[in-house]
Amino acid sequence: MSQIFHRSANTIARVSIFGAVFFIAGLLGLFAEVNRSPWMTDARVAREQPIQFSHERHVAGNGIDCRYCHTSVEDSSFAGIPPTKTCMNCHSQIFANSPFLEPVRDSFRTGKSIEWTRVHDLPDFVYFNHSIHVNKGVGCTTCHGQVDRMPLMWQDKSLQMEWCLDCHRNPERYVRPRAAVFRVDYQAPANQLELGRQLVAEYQIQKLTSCSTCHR
Amino acid sequence: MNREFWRTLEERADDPAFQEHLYNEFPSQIEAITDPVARRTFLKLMGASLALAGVTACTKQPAEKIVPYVRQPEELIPGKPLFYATAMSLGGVATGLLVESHEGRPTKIEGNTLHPGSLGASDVFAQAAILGLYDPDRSQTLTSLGEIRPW
Repeated sequence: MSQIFHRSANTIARVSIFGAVFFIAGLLGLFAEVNRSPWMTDARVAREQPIQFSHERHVAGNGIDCRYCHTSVEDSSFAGIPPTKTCMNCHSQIFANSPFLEPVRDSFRTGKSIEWTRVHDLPDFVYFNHSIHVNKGVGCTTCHGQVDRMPLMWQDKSLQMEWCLDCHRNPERYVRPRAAVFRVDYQAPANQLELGRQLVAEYQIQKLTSCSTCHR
Repeated sequence: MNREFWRTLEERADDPAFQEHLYNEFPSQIEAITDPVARRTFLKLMGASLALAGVTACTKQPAEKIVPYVRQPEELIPGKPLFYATAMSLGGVATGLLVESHEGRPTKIEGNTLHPGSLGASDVFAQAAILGLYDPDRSQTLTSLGEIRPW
């Protein structure tokens, strides 16, 4: 009786079985990379806002401290978006007739809030608290990037869990002295690891990596 | 006295669309379960939707708005509740209470630890009073047997 399959069928079968392993691994790798890409995370994509507010102008240009507007960052989970009144503190005098600021004046006149588009949006199943991070020596720019160089605000980091865990596992790589938390021009010193370990001990920073730390 | 009883506000309002929904909620779909052919289709559809339910996680979350105050009230820290001291009287005795408020919305009533009549404790009436502060469908006035009455 003659063979149904040609001898070469053996080779084809082997190659396709091994090939499938690499093909599936490749697909999974591609999926993981797409998931990390700005296409999914929106990292480094500037958002449209009702007013073309420039952090670059206000932070680098005018040297305004983060906390002048984001007042509750040291006390609350939410850093706070300034009320229209805060804008008007200066802009009732400076650029008081600028057409770009019409929405601000309109909001102040009518009492209707400015609706900003949220840039850093963690999923609702994640608990996050600004105050504890700021008080333990995590600088603003560590997570938010060089805000003083952002004409329109974007999210600098992926905000994915692997990114959170990177610092939660190795805080000594990122912490800085409390006095420098709000400095946008802070550069990590050459002995960051040494300084970091010292600060972790001094500020009693715990390496919180339990699920329920954030998913409570 | 013939009183009309109702379970939901829609039923009370006698909305015809709701009445139909109430009638159709189960009996009209019973054939889909008793008929074996339709039951298989039903199971297939349910199986497929169960399998596809996992895919719904693969979407990006929609863009959110942040709507700050125009003039922020004093002493308010966004993201933290404010506690207001107040009192509620029952049987001629007032009990000191603390009302927790998130961005102007009362969410919880507890006893005021600094008040000698409460010392942090509260009663069922105080606990339930939160619904009276909150519910837009609450009775706006006192009624008895369908008529507006004074106390």
